[in-house]
Amino acid sequence: MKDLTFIFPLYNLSENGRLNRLNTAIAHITVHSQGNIIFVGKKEDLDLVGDKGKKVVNDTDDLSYPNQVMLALKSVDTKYFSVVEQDDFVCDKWAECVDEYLKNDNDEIFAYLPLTEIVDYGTDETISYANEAFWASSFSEEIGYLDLNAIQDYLNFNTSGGIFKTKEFLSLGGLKTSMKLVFWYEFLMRALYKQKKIFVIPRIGYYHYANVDGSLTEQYANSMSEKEVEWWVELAKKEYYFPQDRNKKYEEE
Amino acid sequence: MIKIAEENVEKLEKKEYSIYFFVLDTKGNPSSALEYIYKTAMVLHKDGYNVKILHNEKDFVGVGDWLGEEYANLPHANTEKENVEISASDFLVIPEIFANVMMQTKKLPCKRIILVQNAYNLTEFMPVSQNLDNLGITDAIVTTKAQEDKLLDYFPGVRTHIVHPSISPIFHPSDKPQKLVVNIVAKDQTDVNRIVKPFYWKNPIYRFVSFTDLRGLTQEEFARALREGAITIWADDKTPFGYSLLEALKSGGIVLAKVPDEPTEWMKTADGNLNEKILWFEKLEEVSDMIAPAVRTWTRFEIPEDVYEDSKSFDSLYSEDVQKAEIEHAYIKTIVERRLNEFKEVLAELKNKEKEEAAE
Repeated sequence: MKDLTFIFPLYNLSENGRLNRLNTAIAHITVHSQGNIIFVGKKEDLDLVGDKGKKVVNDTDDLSYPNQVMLALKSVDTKYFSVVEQDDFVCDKWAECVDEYLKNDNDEIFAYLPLTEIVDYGTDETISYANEAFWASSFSEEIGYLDLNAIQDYLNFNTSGGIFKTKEFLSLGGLKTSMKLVFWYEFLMRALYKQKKIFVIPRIGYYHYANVDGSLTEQYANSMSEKEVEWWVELAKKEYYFPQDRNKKYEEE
Repeated sequence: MIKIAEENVEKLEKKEYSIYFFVLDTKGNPSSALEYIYKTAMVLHKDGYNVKILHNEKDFVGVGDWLGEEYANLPHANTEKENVEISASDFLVIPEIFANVMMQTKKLPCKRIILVQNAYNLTEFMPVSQNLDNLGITDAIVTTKAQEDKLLDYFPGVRTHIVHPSISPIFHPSDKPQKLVVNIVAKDQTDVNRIVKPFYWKNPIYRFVSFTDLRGLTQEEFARALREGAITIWADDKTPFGYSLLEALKSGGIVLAKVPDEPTEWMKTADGNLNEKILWFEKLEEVSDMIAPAVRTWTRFEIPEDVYEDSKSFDSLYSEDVQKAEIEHAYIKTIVERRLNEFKEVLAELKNKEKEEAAE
């Protein structure tokens, strides 16, 4: 998979056994990645990963996920990239599976998302799935594919582990760094609005750990009111018409 | 008389005879039994023999939509509308469901052959007062050893010739990743419901699993669905052969199959047991509990490699080449040759008689 770069945005790597999980994920990916791994984060986090890949130091004040991804993308020179969350687990078959899809890739498909299994971090039990609904009959217009109508009221998707075409991703404007929580949601709607085809690989090789202390989701859950969450979701539904980041800010009424 | 016999010998030797196949129009619905007849006719047609498909349907639809134009373009005739001249050197192949045709054609001069794909149809359609002997039918084409055994059990005097079915090469594994779709090959909607609904009720977490009912698809669509779907469930209790099960096995997916009432020979091993390379289930109620583990193991890359390896063992079964050889052997080398020899014997007898009469 010479044409694929895995991006690992890092934060608080020394906490909650993250480094161990990261090393496991890297071990499975390294078999197929042929060295195309980029770590992005603060210097102290980057120091912990050794020399397993290229490092992009984020020396800005903005340590948000979308900003980390966009920073890393400046160093990506492969046709495809994938963002892997440091809290997640990638099984060794996943990269092999992705390889098979990319071998059969035609220019029609812009992105491949995984059928993600959501696992409880404490009990290691499967809680649910993400991206699964697109394989249900009658959910989307074409089985296995996202469409704009289908995701209007569907937020249970997971983009981590997804494979995106780098040039098209950037030409769509990439992730909007001002957005909180809904940066991927807004981006997917923008891509679908631009007629991009997004396919869900119906295989489980990517496991997302839920209920991890200090995770990005937990940070949002702790810092955002329900009202703010709703505001961001509604904003995403309006902003996807605009390729540029219009820097909308949430203000408490 | 000698002249007539000579003409028939000449026709048989010069391939100037016709082989007629009587068919039931399935009104555009795919049918393995009908496909078998058309395939036989096509092999003989391509070998240069005169074949004609006969029917007596007012609004004949044919097989073009699901089997292809090549088959639809074989010569056809409606016996109700057209005058089909059948001579003594011709052959009429009558499927076992047409007991009435066997009776109506009793006085025709041609050689009539019964084609038995499901011997139980004889018990359904043939009156108890009739049998192959009094219908003047001495030869039967059968599709399997089991069908042959049944037929000989009913009518021990008939000569049987086995011509196995073949599976079209369009049934093969996909070279692309499969889809998370569970195909269902069942005879009716009730069976489909008995599989799908309990699965969703028992496994709400798997409500994203899609099922595709493969009834009524064209052969192309059917083959594509089998190739693309990760899992296929097959349930056809009354099958005389199990075409669609074999087609599914050749298509490379995971196949869960209900044990039919009478498993065909290819479903069994040499010792007569069910072939364990197929994932069998006994009752429809069981399969809803098998789907979730199958989906889970497939999505998680946990299907043991030997499951796929095992299904490859079916790849070489029932090829079109073997069927072609069997058709040529049964129809031409055996039945036509025998008919020719019969005419030659009659001719020799007639000539001897003529000589004797002349000498006197």
